[in-house]
This record gives sequence, C-alpha cells and structure tokens, in this order.
Amino acid sequence: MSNPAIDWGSPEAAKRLARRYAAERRFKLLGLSAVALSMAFLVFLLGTMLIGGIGGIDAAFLSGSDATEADAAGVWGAVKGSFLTMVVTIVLALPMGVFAAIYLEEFAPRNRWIDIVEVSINNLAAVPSIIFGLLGLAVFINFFGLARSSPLVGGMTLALMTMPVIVIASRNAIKAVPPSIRDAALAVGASEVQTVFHHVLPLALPGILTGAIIGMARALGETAPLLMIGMRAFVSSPPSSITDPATVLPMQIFLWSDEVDRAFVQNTSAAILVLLAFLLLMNGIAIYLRNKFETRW
Amino acid sequence: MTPSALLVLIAGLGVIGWLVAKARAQRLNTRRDALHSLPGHHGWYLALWIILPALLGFAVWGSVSPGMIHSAVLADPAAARLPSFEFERNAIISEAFTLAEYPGTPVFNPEAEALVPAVVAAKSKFGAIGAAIILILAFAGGGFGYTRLTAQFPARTRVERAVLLSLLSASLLAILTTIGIIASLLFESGLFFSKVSPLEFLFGTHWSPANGSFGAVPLYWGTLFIGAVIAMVVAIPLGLMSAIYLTQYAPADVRRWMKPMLEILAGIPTVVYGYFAALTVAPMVRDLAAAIGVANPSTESALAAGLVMGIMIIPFVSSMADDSIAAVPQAMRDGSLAMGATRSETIKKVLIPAALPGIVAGIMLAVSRAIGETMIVVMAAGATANLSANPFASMTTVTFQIVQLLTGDQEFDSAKTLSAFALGLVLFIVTLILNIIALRVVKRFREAYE
Repeated sequence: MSNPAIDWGSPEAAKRLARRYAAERRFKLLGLSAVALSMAFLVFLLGTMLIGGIGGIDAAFLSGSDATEADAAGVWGAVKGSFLTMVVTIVLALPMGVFAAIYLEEFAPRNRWIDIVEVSINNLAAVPSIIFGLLGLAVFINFFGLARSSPLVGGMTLALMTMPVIVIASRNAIKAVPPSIRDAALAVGASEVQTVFHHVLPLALPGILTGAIIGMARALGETAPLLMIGMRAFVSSPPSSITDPATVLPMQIFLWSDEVDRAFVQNTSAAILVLLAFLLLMNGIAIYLRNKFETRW
Repeated sequence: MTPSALLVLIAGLGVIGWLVAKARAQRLNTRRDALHSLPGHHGWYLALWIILPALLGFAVWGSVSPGMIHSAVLADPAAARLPSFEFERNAIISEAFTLAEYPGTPVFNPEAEALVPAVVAAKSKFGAIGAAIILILAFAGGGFGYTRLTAQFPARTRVERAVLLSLLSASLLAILTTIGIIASLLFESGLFFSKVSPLEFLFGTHWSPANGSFGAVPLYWGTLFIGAVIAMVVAIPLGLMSAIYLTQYAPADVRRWMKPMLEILAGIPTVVYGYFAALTVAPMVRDLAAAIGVANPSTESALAAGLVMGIMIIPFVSSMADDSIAAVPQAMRDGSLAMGATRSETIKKVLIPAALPGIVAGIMLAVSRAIGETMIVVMAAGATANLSANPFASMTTVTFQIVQLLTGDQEFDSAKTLSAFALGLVLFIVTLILNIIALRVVKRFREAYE
C-alpha cells in the first residue's frame, strides 16, 4: 500500500472503524431477523391451524367419514385411505429403491448406461409431483385400465415418485459403510452377494429406513398427483380394499377447503392438525432411528 | 379360486420347496466339501423355480383371461338379446360384472340381471382353468429344479445370478419411469398438436379452452410471475440471510436447533400452505390492496400465492446456500479475516463470491420447484388467464390449468383435456432443463474445491 503510516489513533481512523463495526452489526442483525421472520411465519401458520382446528377434534371427528353436513363429517375414511395408499407405496417403493441403490453402489459397471440411470434418478427426484400424476393417469388408468380413485393406483403413482428419494438415501447409507467391512467378509470367503446382504445391508439399514420414512412423509402430504388420478371423489364410507374408491387425508383437506359452507372451516383446520400430527410422528421416528443407530466409523 | 388365495398358495408351495430342497441338501452333506453350495442356496434355487414360472403364468393369465371371459359371456344364449350396438352392449355387460361381484347393486339396465349367471359361470370356469395352469407351472418348475439337486450342483451361483438380475431390473425401473413420463406426455401432446397448432399454443396470448383458444402465454407469465418473481423475492433474501446467520454467526447450539426448525417449513404439505394462503394470507393481501387504493381487489391474487410459496421455498434456498458456503475452503475465510476484514466483509467479499455457483444452482432448483408447485396456486391464485404485472390481480398458472382441465368430466380425446398434457410437457421440459443445469453446476462446483 502507498501509505504505510496510517495513524490508527486519529479521529478519521476511529470513525472509519466505527463505521465498519456498525456495518458488521447491521449485517448480523439482518441475518438474525431473516431467521426470526422465517420462524415467525412457521409459528403463525401452525398457530392459525391450531386455533382454528383444535376445537374440531373429538372422537366423532376421528371416527367418522366424509359427509355433506359439517357436524357429521370426520377423517377416519380419509385416514384409512391414506393408510392403504401408503401400504401400496411402501411395498413397491422400498424394495425397488433399495435394490436399485444396491446395484448402483455395489455391482454396477462404470459405463454410459449406468450414467443414464443415475441422471434419470437424480432428475426424477426433482420432477414436479403433478407430472407423476399425469403419468399415472396416462399409464395406469388409460392404458392399463385400473380403477380410478383407488388406493392401488394412488399408491403406485406415489411409489414412482418416492422411489428416487429412497434410492438416493439408500445409496448414501450404503456408501457410508466402510470398505474394510466388505474386505473382511470377502477375505473369509463370502461371495459378493453374501457380503452385501449379510454385512453391508444390515449396517446401512438405519440410514435406509430414515430415508424411506422421510420419503413416505412426503408422499403422505402429497395432493397434486392424486388429483390427477381422480382421488377427489366424495367417499362417505371408509375403503375396505385397495381397489375401492377412496380419498386421502390431504385430499380431504382440499375438498373441505373448497366447501362453501363456513362450518367446514373448523373441519379443514382439524384435518390439517391430524395430518401434521402424523407427519410429526413419522419424522420423529426417523430422527430417533438416526440418532439411535447412526454409527460413526 | 381368488387371485389373492392363488398367490398365497404359490408362496406356500415356494416355502415347501425351500424346506424340501434344504433338507435334501443337508442329507447329501455327508462329508466335508461334499456340497458345492450351502443347503440354504439349494432351498432358494428350488423355491425360485417354483415361484417364478407360476408368477409369470399368473401375470400372463391375468392379462388374457378378461378378454376370454368377455367373449364367453357374449357367446352365452342370454347375451343373444343384447343390443348389437357395441357401446351399449359393453355398458350392460360391465353392469353384469358388477352385479356378479356385489349382488344387490342397483342397475340401470334390467338386461344385466339376466347375464349374471353367465358371468358367474364364465368367471368360475376360467378361474379354475387359470388356477390349474398356474399350479401345473409351479409343479413343473419345482420338478425340474428338484432333478438338478445334486451335491456338486452350483446352486449358489445360480441364485446369485437371479439376485443380480433383480437388482439390475430395479435400477432400470428409474429409466422406465423417465421413458414412461416422456412417452405418455409426448403421445398425448401429439394428439393435441394434431388439433391445435403448436405455434398458437406456444405464442398465442389468449387462453380460453372452453372456446377453443389455446394461447398459453398468459399461463407461462402467471407461472413465472408467481414462482420465479414473487416467491423468489421472498425466498432468496430470507433463505440466504438465514443460511449466512446460521453458518457464520449463530452459536453451535442455536444452529443445531434452528436448522431443523427451518426445515419444518419444507416438510409441511403443500395443501396446508394452500389453505393458509387462501384463508389467511389472501384476505390480508386484499385488505392491503384496498388500503393502497387498488380498485376492486380480488381475494385470489398472485401476491398471496407467491408470498406463501416463497415461505415454502426458504429452506431449499437456505440449505443449498448453507452447503455451498460450507464447501468454501476454511483457508479462504481465514485469509480474509487475517487481513483485517470484519466477518461481514469476509462474507460479502469472499465467501459469497466463492459460493456463488452453488447458490445460483440452489436458486434454480428452488425456481424449478416453485413453478411445478400445484396446490398453493390451485387454492389461492385464481382461474382467470391474466397477462399483467399487477401482483394484486388474479392470475393462473400452468399447474392450475392442468388440474382444472383434468378434473371433472373427462372425454379423453377432446382438445381441452389433451391440452393438459401439452402443458405438462412444457412444464416437464422447463423443470428438466433447470434441474440438469443446476445439478451440473453443483457437481462442478464441488469438484473445484475438493
């Protein structure tokens, strides 16, 4: 620099420093207020739902199905529809996702085909959910002629959507298992398949399950793809099998929010509370699993 | 025999085969090294030979038998009195099927009642034939597998080959899904573009499907204005500043608690945001519009939808920014601080420029997420196609129109429903391009600092 002799004690320098420190404090305050504002939104949103809905939750609401009268309507039909849909989703998406992840991490050769698989999995994870709904409508309903509004079609559509999430989580979990485990198993004579299924997979399982639960939580809250395949019918009795017409919890919220009758406002908020409670439970289980079984190698 | 009972039976036979083969292999295991594979592998080998042919038969039979049952019902004397017009005839037959399954269901066509015995007979006849074929396949496969069971038979390599094959096919499902999405969107859009010119669809400025005008520019504008402008005005400053505060200033304890709290915003279902936007935010926005003198403010506004969408996007932006800032080498930060820069100067002059590619990629992912978002706009943005820059105006988006066009009455070949797939195709291509660029930038950015 051209002026090596700055007088740090001079009033100019002191003013300059004060200005820089003030800028520092302003910046820090700005960051803090961004966090605070985001949190405030969260609290406001949850608070609105809690105040609007807590009064609507009672035994009749939890055990009833959809009805034309707001007082008689309940969420049980929708909860059961969600449950059946989630069963179909997990039965399809978990094995497929884990198998794909095992193949890509442990057995896949490095070639262009595998690159295409990887790129398409990463992209599928970011494709808008409504596109999966269009796929389900075009393929499962129009082409294969499966029943509209059924948990079977809904579950299959959501499984396609959830699979990439499970693949990505499972790959990370499998990658985290140290190579020494594999080397040890191979050294005492296990085959590659035995190594993976007897040693790598059990160690990666907590991570895989955490990813699967998070993917399922996302699928549970999903509405748009299910709108496409017609799960918005008025269903006044709980579905008894995966081919019956059904509705799911987020769809019930959407249908009730559309009602002209003001009495449904409380029902909508109450159903949102039920949905959020399920999501909280699932995420809680995922966090518990991660903390309890996570191994640092 | 019902399909589910048949599946249980096949599984049961598989278990029996597994036990039999395992027991036999154990008997063959008379001395050290007598067996090539473990008894369990022999068990799996036989079980696969029982289950796989039977399942294959099950799938093939399941796809051909409905047609056979249908023609058997038509050949029945009771069907002779049916109208020859095919559409009407099929409606009656499908009612007869419903009646056969759920007796007592109310029906429109009384002729259907007469067909019920024929349907029941055909169903039980073809059901029995199918079950017999599937069981024969199971026993034939099992018999073949059993004859190969010798002490030196390499059951393990065979079973492992089957396992590898199933792993491979699971990973190919991802490609299949992508192909399925592209093929179905292209196919239906192709039908649409044979009725409506692509140029009109891409560049026309008047959208009114009910009257046959499909100019989608107002939809693109609404989508971009809500998702890429209003939502980002909310999400980028809040997300970026939150990430900076949490990574650079907040004590470790605060960070450990606040980061998951922020992530909750991303975990709330979009239908909840939509309800929140419609019930709480939209009236506030309307009152605000009235207060600053906008004439006739509507309850549905681009601003309400965009604001709430922005809140939803905050965690995406902040976690991407968080990762990118964390990836900047510590040495660069230390260097800047050692030269006497304050923390905020270091952040503004060193960290953010270095992390910029990652932050931009994160924003692109967030935009792609925002323009594909459906429920918030369905519930809060409105249905009128509106080409204006007024945030208080009601605006419609691509996703809103897809939902609008595909719910309700559906005739599948009308230009109105098909246009939803064309909109889906545009949405898919745009989000795909954003995602590919963003993922590539992130990858290159990571490599640059590793």
